[in-house]
Amino acid sequence: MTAHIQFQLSESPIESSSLAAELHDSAAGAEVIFDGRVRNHNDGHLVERLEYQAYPALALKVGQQILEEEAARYGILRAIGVHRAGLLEIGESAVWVGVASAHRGAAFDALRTIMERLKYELPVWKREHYVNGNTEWVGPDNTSAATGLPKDDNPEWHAGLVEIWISPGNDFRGHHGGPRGEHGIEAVNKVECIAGMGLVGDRYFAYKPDFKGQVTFFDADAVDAVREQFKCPELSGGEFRRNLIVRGVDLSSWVGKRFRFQGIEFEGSEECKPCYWMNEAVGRGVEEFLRTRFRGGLRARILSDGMLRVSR
Amino acid sequence: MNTYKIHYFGMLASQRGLADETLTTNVIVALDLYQQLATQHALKLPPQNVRAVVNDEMVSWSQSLCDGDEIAFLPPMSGG
Repeated sequence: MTAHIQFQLSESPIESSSLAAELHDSAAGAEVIFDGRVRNHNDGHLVERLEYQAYPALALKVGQQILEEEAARYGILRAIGVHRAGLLEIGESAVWVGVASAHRGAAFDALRTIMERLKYELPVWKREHYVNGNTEWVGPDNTSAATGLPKDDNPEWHAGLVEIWISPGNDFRGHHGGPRGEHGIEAVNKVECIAGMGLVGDRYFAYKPDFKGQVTFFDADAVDAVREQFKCPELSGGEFRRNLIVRGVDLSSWVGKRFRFQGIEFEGSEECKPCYWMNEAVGRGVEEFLRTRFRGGLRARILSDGMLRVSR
Repeated sequence: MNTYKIHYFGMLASQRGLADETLTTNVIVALDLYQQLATQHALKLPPQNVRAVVNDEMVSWSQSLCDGDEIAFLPPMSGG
């Protein structure tokens, strides 16, 4: 590469050190580099890899034009941009832009503008591949892939529903100082959600207005972790007395946020902190174990009616 | 009748179920071509959310088409 302003599209990993060397210029007192990498999560979903489909002939033209226009606008000496195409693993560089200018102000400003334009103008399309095997075309900055504008709907969880547990009465809550209740808990294949009320047949149904825990979500990975840590491979997922055991969603990122699951709308309210009953029900140390890494699960309000079903 | 090579990208390719096709039609304006394809294949993006490209140049929807043109339809870009 010899030109001082150059945009490339690459099917192979970005060689950042050789690109950075191309920025050196004896008239440049500032070099600024942006290295955009593939994250393992986006918009609350666990991402396994990212795919960029490109329109190569047009992308080269548009990318080059963006670099040249912004270099001219900000008085940039050198500008190099590379965007990846193809399948990318977590941690790989997806886009790399470096600029060199006499002083830092212009370099920072130009780089910021170039990046914003590349995200919305470069003819490449991003598809997320989720841990659960689903894929989805996504827009930049979590905009809608269909409109390029901020989403007007709440994101759908790409998660599996492993088990549904409902219990007609409280075994722990209200039993402080005495024996646990004997209501038991029942695994069901489907359950009806009623907005503002709860799960039909569950102890917290119509418990009180605007109740934060109309439904509780629990991560199947936390069940697995307890089974392994406390050497109880046969432990039932019902022992945690949470309603919905899900796989493939980072529950910790949904506090205070709205989402859809199987088309039904929910709003995460708070972490479902475990209580000491967990030690009695499952084993010593479980309460403390569940207090870390959001393993206690997510309490949520139900915002729309519908039927949840265990995933096949 | 004109024959066009048509390319779909991103979610439009997913909705069409393929990325490239050749089509012979009497349609000669970019917008009319997109609307014909959208109706025929249940493409879900309205034209205001799609960019038309003819022979690697972005064009307006009123662009007239010539026999042998390569036409691409682009959903909103998603780089970075």
